[in-house]
Amino acid sequence: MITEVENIILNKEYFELTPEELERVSELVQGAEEYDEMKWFLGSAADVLQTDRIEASPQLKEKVMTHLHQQQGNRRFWLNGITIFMWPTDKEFYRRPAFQMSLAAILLIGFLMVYNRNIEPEGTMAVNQKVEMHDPNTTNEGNTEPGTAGELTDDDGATLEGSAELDNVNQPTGGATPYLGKSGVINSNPNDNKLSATQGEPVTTVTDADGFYYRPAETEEMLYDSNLQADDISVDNATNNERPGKLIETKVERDQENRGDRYKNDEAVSEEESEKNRSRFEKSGYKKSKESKKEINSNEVSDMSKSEDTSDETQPANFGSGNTGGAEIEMTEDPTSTGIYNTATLDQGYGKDNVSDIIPYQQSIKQTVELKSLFATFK
Amino acid sequence: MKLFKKDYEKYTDEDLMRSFREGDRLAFEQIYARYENFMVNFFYRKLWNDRVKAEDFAHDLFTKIIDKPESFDLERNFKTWLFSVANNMCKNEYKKQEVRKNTGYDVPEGVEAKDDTILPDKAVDKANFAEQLKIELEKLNEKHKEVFMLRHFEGLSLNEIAETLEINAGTVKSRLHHATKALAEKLAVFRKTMI
Repeated sequence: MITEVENIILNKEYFELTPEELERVSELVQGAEEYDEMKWFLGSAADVLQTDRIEASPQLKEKVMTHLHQQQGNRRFWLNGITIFMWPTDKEFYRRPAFQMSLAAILLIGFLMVYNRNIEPEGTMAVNQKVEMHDPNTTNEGNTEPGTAGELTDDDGATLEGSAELDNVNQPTGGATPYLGKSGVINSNPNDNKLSATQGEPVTTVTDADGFYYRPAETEEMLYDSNLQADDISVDNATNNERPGKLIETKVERDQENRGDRYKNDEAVSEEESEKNRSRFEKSGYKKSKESKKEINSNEVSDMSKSEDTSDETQPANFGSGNTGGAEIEMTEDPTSTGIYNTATLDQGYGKDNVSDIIPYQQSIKQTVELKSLFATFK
Repeated sequence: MKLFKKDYEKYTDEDLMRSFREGDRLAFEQIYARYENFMVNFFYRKLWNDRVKAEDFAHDLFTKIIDKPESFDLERNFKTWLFSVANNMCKNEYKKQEVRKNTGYDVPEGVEAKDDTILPDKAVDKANFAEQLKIELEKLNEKHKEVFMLRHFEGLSLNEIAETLEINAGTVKSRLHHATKALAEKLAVFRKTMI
């Protein structure tokens, strides 16, 4: 290009030229002498041109600006400046700031909506599950008269402590909603009178993940944390007599706690304890009345949603024997414990083969699995 | 009030014209500031070094842009378009005059320019060189002269000259080459006297 040639000639001497530059310069000059002449001419011409320039007068600018401001036809509001910036017509659609800014805003809003969404699980956690069943046919009589239905008596006819309370919830529902399961209260503290059921009130049973049944609380506050998820909490409840909702402590668990060997093999312990209890039950003289036994048995069967033979009333309670029903409820008083508990409540029908029949259908799958594992330890 | 303050100095000529077509006055003011002296000097050299006429022509040029900004094609280069418009204005003026002045640059009194050769015995200084340059330019072919002036006086590149004159770049190159060599040969005598 001529421009490049002129710049080369003006800036370099002939002997400083590279072969490429020399080839370019040869289009304009031939030889070193012509190169020098051209170099002088271009330099002198540039000097002349610089000195020969004039400056425009201020009046010229004034005239032009006056004419500019007089033109109102094509003048628009200042807002057009924004329009020009946001939506230039000479650019592609995706390069326009308005499109890009709107796209960025949409992405930002979408991210915030996803980020701030409510992630709380809806009923996926077994926390304070409470099932209220209103059965008008249910009677919760705290009848403590000896020999009456639902009352457990010893051989002397004395009413066992807590037996009436046990009976309060073992009533046939007769209604559409079955029990979740047997529930009873074994009050390790005989002096605790809080858990007396009242007559006519609807029965509310609660079952925790461990399979322990809670006595229906008189108020909703009593149901607080009655459903327990962790085993340690359930154990705490078993030991804390002041907390609402009593657990039916298993002998196994109580003994474990007393011994302090909580981490002993559950299966071995349960098996060992079951043998002890079995022999103790066989020796015990506490027997429930026939009517109460029948009633309890029938209730248990109906509650468990199974039909078992309950006619055998003489068959003693049997741990892990697979006895599904008909066994008389035998009460025992463990001299090592602080109260009376009904192990037959759990023992009855909780055999290996009948676990699935016993588990109420209303329980969740999680509870079912945990119950099965728990029952397996009792063998 | 401007919500978005623009830095017009960073805008290209085409962007400024685009903004001006949308109603931005400041964009035109920036364009005027860039090309005011260029156009005045162009008309000054084209119109027989007449300062008054040069400013009049410059005023007419910019008012035409103000009145019809849409006449500029945004796809083109604004600088070449501006010089092409100015060049056409000068051609029209030439036609109006009907008389083409051979001295395109006013020759000062006392200087003879008829003889092609410059007697080497005449001591000439740098001032005379300038005058002689103008004279020699007038003697050139109009096409060569035009190309030479756009290149050396206006500072346009080869492609810009081609767009302004709407000719081929190779043609511009050859014309410029010829004009440069001719002037250099004729003014070489001043090299020996100028120090």
